[in-house]
Amino acid sequence: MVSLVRLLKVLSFLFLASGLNGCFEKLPMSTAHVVTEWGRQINHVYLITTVIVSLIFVAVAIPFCYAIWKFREKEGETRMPKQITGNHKLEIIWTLVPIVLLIFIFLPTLEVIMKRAEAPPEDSLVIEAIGHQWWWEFKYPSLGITTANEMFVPENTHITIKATSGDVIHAFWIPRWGGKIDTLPGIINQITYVTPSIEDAEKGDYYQGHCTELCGLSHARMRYEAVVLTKDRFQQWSKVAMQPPVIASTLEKKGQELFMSKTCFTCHAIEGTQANGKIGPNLTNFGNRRHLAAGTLNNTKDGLHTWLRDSVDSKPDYQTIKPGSLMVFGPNFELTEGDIKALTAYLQHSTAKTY
Amino acid sequence: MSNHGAPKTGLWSWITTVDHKRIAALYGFSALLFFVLGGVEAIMMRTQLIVPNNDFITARTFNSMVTMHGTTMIFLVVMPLSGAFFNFLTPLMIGARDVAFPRLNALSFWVFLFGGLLLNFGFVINEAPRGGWFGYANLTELQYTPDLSADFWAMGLQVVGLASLIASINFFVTILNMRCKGMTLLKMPMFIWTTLVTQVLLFLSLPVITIALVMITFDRHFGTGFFNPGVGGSVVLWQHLFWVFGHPEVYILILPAMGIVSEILATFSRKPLFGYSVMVYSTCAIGFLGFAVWAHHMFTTGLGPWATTFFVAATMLIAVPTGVKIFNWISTVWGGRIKITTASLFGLSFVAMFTFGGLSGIMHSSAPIDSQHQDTYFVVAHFHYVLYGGAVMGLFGGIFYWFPKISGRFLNETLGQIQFWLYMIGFNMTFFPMHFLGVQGMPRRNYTYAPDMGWDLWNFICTIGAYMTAVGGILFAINLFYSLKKGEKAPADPWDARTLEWTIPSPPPEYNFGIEPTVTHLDDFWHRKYDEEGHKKQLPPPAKYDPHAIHLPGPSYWPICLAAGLTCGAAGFFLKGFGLYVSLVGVAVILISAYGWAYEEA
Repeated sequence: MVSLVRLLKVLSFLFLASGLNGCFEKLPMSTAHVVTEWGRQINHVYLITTVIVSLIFVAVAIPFCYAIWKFREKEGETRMPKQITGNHKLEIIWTLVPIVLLIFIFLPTLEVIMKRAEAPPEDSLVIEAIGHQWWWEFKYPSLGITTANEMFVPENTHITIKATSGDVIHAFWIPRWGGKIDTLPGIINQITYVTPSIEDAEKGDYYQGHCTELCGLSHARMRYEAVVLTKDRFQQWSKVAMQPPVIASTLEKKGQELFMSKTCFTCHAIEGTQANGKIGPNLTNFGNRRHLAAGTLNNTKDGLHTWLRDSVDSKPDYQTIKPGSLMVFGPNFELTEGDIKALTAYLQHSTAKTY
Repeated sequence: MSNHGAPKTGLWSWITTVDHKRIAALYGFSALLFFVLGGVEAIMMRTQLIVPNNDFITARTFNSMVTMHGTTMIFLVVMPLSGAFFNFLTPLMIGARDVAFPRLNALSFWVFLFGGLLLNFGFVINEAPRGGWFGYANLTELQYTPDLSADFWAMGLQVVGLASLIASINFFVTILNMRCKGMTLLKMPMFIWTTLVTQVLLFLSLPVITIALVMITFDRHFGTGFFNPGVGGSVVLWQHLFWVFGHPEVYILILPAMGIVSEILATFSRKPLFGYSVMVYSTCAIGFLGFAVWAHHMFTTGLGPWATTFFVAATMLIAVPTGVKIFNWISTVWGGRIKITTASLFGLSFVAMFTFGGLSGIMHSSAPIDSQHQDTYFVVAHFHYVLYGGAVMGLFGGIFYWFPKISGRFLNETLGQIQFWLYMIGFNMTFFPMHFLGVQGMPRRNYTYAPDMGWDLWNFICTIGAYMTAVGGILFAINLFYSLKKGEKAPADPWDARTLEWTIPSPPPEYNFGIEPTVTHLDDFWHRKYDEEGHKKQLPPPAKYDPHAIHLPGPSYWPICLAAGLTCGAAGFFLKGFGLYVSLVGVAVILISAYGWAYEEA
């Protein structure tokens, strides 16, 4: 019995410790580790609220547990409790105290809401974020750039995301940057950030984003990343981002020909080629992306092979990688292993840019 | 004509019954069957999420599970289970012989049952609804959901909603008109008060969802485009309509459980409910404010700062009457002599779990915090504490408390207490870690997740907790069937309780009260048993009466016919090809049944 109690103690300690650790660990989508002003404003209110509700919980739980323990019926007890029907003084107190406590939550909340409603500065970098089933399109109207699933931004810069949708409702959310905004078809919602300072100037900082509104089958496979670069490197990136692919080998050449003949070009666009499709992600920068299929697979030879094979071989709605994906082909469509090799070379090397 | 010659057993007697106690049993039994279905759906989701990138079920199945688990638990479990208590207890607690409209009562049950089957029929043809229990347009439009799944959802809900609407009018009229002599409004038991407010919420909010469902159905079949932005419609309109219904719905789910718990705590503490009149006012306040907070489900849609502020304030305000209730329950227990039974354990745990869920609710009443919580597992944790730890635990308490009255036998206490602890531990193990998952950014309704996000451990623990709860559910099923046949026989007043239903035998005779009661106090039965000092009084010998002189409505098969006609009519609406004929048959059945009903001798 004693050892059982000890075991329980150890277990509950582990549970608590790992719980707290889990909360404060720097996970890719942790809302506890925010890096922007907006995120910090939220967490300020969050902290106040957490403290207040925790205090209320303790203030309720202690007398409640005490009452259950103290006034439980003991063996053979016949005491008749006093028939108390109420106490107006007490009831007024526990109506007023919560109101006062709520004011302490309401006022900082109001402050943050009003601060967020301020108009963005003139020179804010505007990025259009368009949700699609199930990938993200990012357009930079002032720079003439269209890309997908990776949103490049310069550090310490005010940016304005104009969020909308190409089909159903999605939601734009980068947890470590603060609260989300819905992307609604037919409506443009705006959300602003001051981008965080850079930690890794060499590679750029990657912040995980995720769609958070049920948008159909592959809602779970609708991820993206915000990539923070130094201002200089962002400048360079914006110059090369829309450059056409450079063909360096015959394999890549074959890949390009396949891309233009195997119906890929009807849905995807690659700058400087006849591929001008608007249904799928723009692939001009494909070679630079870390992931493909909206954060589902690594953008490696294996990853692209898995993706193409699954898309060609399985029926829509029952694809294993991305169920319901629009990357579908007509009957009798074939892609040999050689084709995939050539396409991979073309997509991963010809479109990769240095910046 | 009275129904003393009518059959008392057999299938036909159940199909044609208009007795509120038997209809309550039908409601309860169907709700528990749907509870099994909703539970299996939950277990399938948790099994899929036990490890990252799992392929236990497909994305399509998972989305159906998400949708139907929510829809089932809300519309086909908690609402009808509450409905079972409304049915059984309302006449007994107010000293009446039946509800105001007994055949209408039967109709609402059959409409509910057939509607529930229609909702679930999609599973049979592999087109189960998968657009979420909230069915956000425009995902549910024809363009994005071309199969029949969204039609099963919309029409199924339409039919189920009709059942609730009919029932709500019935109970509203019953409570206002059929109270026994002396029972003024402020002498009604707390459960009757929460029932009354629930009915008002029902008949004010259900028409909104009815309209919304008509609009989406018209969009899908006639291309009206209410929610299609391509032709000038608005997707936000759907959200407003849905939540104007959907938030009062939350209180429709929780208020009956609050009433049940108020009765349980008073009985098992041997004390009157603390601050009865304040409890009544706060119930009304919750009902009223419940209509002014719907847009807190829509903080992230871009409402603008002032609308957001209004809904933040209203949402925070609703915490005040709710808090008053919690303090009053604790004060009810304070100084009492609490008998620990399965019923009182469930009742006490309701207070604890509901408080917890209420407090996490205050956290995301603040719109900025909500923008980090919305559609993450934090919200899943929050509303399961309120609706599962709260409503469902309260309802289980009610089942254990009133089962002796319903069946004349006790549920087994040992099995009951094991089930309670499995539920408590399993429930907290499943939903407490979900707070962590939410803070770690795990979005809801995802059929899978990547292994590099750090969510593996908590998901694993959640799933194990869900399995524990499932074991508790199986124990309850065993307990139920065992106790119905072999349970210990219960006397008329097994818990030394306070309200009128305990003055009559267990199970109650068909006519409830031989002589219609007269009350002088709140908790009248208690005052008959004890004097002001708490000394037992001698109960007067029961008065003599002739059971055969009591008029009761006769059985009728028209309600089930009319319900079948309605469901046929609704289903025909969206069936391809021969749908029109199905609908016409449905309309014919409705007309014939209504005619037969109108000219039937009652």
